[in-house]
Order: sequence, then structure tokens, then C-alpha cells
Amino acid sequence: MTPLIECTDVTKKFGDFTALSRLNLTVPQGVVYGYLGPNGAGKSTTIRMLMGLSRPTSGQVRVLGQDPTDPEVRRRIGYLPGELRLDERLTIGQTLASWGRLRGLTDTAYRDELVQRFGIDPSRRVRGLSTGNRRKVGLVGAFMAKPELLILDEPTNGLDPLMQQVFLATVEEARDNGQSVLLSSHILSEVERVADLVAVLQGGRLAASGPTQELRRRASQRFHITFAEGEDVPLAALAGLEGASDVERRSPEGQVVSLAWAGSPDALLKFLAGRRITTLTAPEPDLEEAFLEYYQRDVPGSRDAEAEEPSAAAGPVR
Amino acid sequence: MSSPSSEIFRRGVQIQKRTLIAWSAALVLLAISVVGAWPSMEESDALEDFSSGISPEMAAAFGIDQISSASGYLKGNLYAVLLPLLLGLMAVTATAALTGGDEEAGRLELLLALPVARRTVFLVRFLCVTFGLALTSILVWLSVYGSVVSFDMDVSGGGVAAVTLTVGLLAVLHAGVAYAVVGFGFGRGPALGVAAGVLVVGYLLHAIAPMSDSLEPLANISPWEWALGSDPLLNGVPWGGVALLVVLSAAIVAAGTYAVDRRDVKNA
Repeated sequence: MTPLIECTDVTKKFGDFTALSRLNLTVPQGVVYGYLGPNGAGKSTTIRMLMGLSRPTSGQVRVLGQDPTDPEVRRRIGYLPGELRLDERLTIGQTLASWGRLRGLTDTAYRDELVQRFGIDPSRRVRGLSTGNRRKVGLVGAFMAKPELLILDEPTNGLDPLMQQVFLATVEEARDNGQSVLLSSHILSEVERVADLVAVLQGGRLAASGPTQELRRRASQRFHITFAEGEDVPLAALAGLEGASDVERRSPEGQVVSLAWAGSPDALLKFLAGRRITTLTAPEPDLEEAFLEYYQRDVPGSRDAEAEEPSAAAGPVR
Repeated sequence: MSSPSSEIFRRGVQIQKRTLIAWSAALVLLAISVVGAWPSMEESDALEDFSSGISPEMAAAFGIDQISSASGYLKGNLYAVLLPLLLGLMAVTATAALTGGDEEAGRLELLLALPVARRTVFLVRFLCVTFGLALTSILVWLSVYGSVVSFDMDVSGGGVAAVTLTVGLLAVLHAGVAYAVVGFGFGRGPALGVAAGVLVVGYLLHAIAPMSDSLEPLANISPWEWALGSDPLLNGVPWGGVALLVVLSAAIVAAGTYAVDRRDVKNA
């Protein structure tokens, strides 16, 4: 089966600035794909090429097996731009009707259902709508034609938590319906629930990609350890362990230590076996943490940048 | 016209509706007040005095050489400078706003991601500007012609129609210049600057070059010369000039369209 989206060695330069460097990305059918990265990582640059709005400097972009600059391909895609500019003069209803005419949409039942679901009043003027409400209009526009592929750039931007849930449910419904969704975000927790696959983009390069579960497994795990009353808190020793980082005491003289741990917890448990501890907890790792790891690689003075020096491998001890 | 194109056209006209009404009203008002002043001007000898202190060359440059005749009066006060300049500016600003301006503001982002060819979006928007120019020209023509008839001025209806046509085409050409600049990706600001520059330089060549024998041939490269050089108000439609305006407009619009299809859409 042809992948819905296939980017091969895609590079995009703006003058001297390389916004995207040799990106390889494959989005198969029937999945929700999380496209993640901090602002400026190149997410929108990628998405605009997927919509045929710009062309790669080198490499190839294929959407539904075709060049997306062909308008007929775009009939099968629903798009929500990251920077959504609506016509201020129209009402919401007129805006949706205009998009419908441009798309040749005849069946408006699903559109009306979405309007209800997102709690939009079609008679309101676009002028005066909040960012979140504009976003909802854009989302209805993207979903209303039930396209095979949805490309949504920062869809939850400005949505309140309730609407985020409505949005995620709509995404899940689309996937169950056989549609595929690519959604970009700089906030992981928003995407984590629905995304089957994720790619993490950083500084124009793909930092990681794969099934969400797997990325989460690769993420460093945080442990909270409470040492028994009277037991010395071996901060330095913990920090010296291979795999430990970000070791910190919860309160200045407290017995609770929190640390991040990469890899198998075997060595940590063996170390702790020689001490008296009262609790050891390990919350479910979230992608936010995995994500932060990727971010920090490029940040000067961060934990991983310091890791070049062997002695600092354990990170700062507080 | 297929349905998406007519939708884009409708929306384009709707977007420029207010500016279009304002321009049309202003130009109609201008035309009516110019023509409306004729009866009192005709009675006094003010016009003779007005042009008598000026050398014939200068008078020709400002189009006021036959200002005491009815058609000379219309030419000097309306068709030689004011109307083509204002209609040209209307063309340039409307085109820059509707193409480059909307693109840079991100208002085309969603439209261009819909199943509509990019060239269709840009061409139809150019068509919206042309439509606005045609509408304004017709309104100005009707008000001038109506006044001419009611004041029983010695001006031929055919002449008014001819000069309306050439002035309108001159404006379309400058809209085309702005369109092409946007098409090649230089954006709204440069489009305004270049097209307004062509308009003004074209006027200067047309008005001033004939005053010097060595510069005179330069007047022939001015679109103003093609449109107004043969005095269409008196002599009817200059078909050669009209053909030149139409062909050149079509060529630069085609070039701009070719370019816009092959470049990136600007990011808001």
C-alpha cells in the first residue's frame, strides 16, 4: 500500500538558513501521526510542503502518491494552517459555506454535526472571535469533507481543555473511519493520547521517530526514593551512578530524592538494596520527558551537552 | 466559469467592495464636478487667460493646449492627467492588496491549500481588479456622457467612449505590472512601488519628452502615449495603441502567472 505521506531526503533552505535537513518521513494509512518539536523546528515548513504551498530545495515530497502541488491531490486532504487567517467580513456560516463551494462539498450533514460538537454559532461574525474559536472553525473546515488525510498544524492551539477532548475524540473517530491524521504540536501530552506513531523534529532534523509506546519506553524514567529516617541520603553516590541524571533532593534536609534514570533500572535497584528506604515510586514516563531529552541535546550548558566530559555525566547535583 | 472560480471571483469582489465603492464615488464626483464647471467656464474667458501665459509646448504637456474648446477642456481637466493617474493608482493598489497583500497576511494560505490551482486563484483575483476598473470606468463614462449631453457640449459621444476605453486599458496594464511583480515573489510593497513608478515615469515621458527634439522618440515607449497620444477624445479609438496595451497586459499577466505557479507561497 502506498504510504499517505512520503518525504525522501527533503531539504528546505531559506537563503542561508536550512529549515529542514534531509528529512525522511513515512506516514502509513489509517494512523494518527504526531509530528512533534519545539517552535521553529521545521514542523510548519514540512507541512506547507505537504500542502503544495512550497517546494523542497532538494528531495521529494509525495502525498497520496502524488505531487501535492497538483490541486486534485488536495481534494483528498483537509488542512488546518498553523497561522489561520480567516476573512473578517464573513460569518462563520458563510466561511464554511465558501470552503464547501471551493471543495465541491454537497453533503453538509457531517459539517453541521461538527459545528454542534465544537459548540460554534454559525451566525457569529469571524471578526471578534477568539483564537480558540477561530481554530474551531478551521477544524470544522478540515474535517467536514471527511478527507482521506488530515494535516493539522498545531490544532489544539488556543483550545480550552474541554474542546481539546472534543478534538481528540474527533481525531479518533476519523481514524476509526479509515482516515489518517498528521498532527503537529509542541506540546506532547496533547498528542500522546491519540498518536499511534510520532516523529520528533528538532532544529530541522528528525531526532526520533517510531511507535509512541516505544518512544515512551526509550524515555528516561523518573524515580522518587524516600530514604528511611536516620538513613544518610547518598546524593553524590546516586549521582555517580551510570544512568542517573538530574538527581535532586525534594527539600533541603528531606529524605526524598528524585532522579531521572536511563536504561535498565538494575544498577539502581542493586545500589538501593544496601540502604533502608521506605518508598520507591516510578510514575509512568510521559513523552514530555522523552521530548525534553531531545530538546536539551542542543541547548548549550544542558545536561547532555555537558555529558561530553565524563565526570559530569551524572548531571547537576542539587 | 466553473464553480470554484466563480466562488473566488465573488469573494474577491466582496473583499474589495468598500474600496471599489469609494474609488468609484470619488472618480464619478471628480468627473461630474469637472464637467459641471464647464458652463460657467465657457461663459467667462477664464480658460483663455489660463492657458495664454504658458508656452504652447508646456500647454501641450499638461494637455491644456485646447482648453477653451469643450473637448479640450475635458481633456485638460480630466483625461490628460487626473483620471488616468487616479484610475492607475486604483488599479495598482487594488491588485497589490488582493494578491500580494492577502498572501503576505496569510489570507491565501487556506485558499491555496484547497483543491484549486494556484494560478486560478491569482488570475481570478486579477480579474476581480479588472472588473472593478471596468465598473468604475463605465460609471465615469456615463456621468461624463450624461453631463455632456445635458450641457450640450461640443464633444462626441464616441470620443468619450474611446478615451474611457484607453484610460481603462492603461489602468489594467498597470494592474498587470503590480500582478507580475507579486507573481515573481517580490511582494506587495515592491509591487506598489514598481507599478506606481511605471505609471509616473510613463506620464513624464509622455508629457515632457515631446518638448525636446532629442527626447521625443522616448515618448513612444510610454504606455500613456499609446493610450492618449493620438487624442482619442477627438480622434476616436487608437487601435494600434489599444492592441499594444492589450497584448502587453496579457503578456505580463501570463508571465506573472507562470512565475506564481512555480514559487513558494509566502508565509504569514
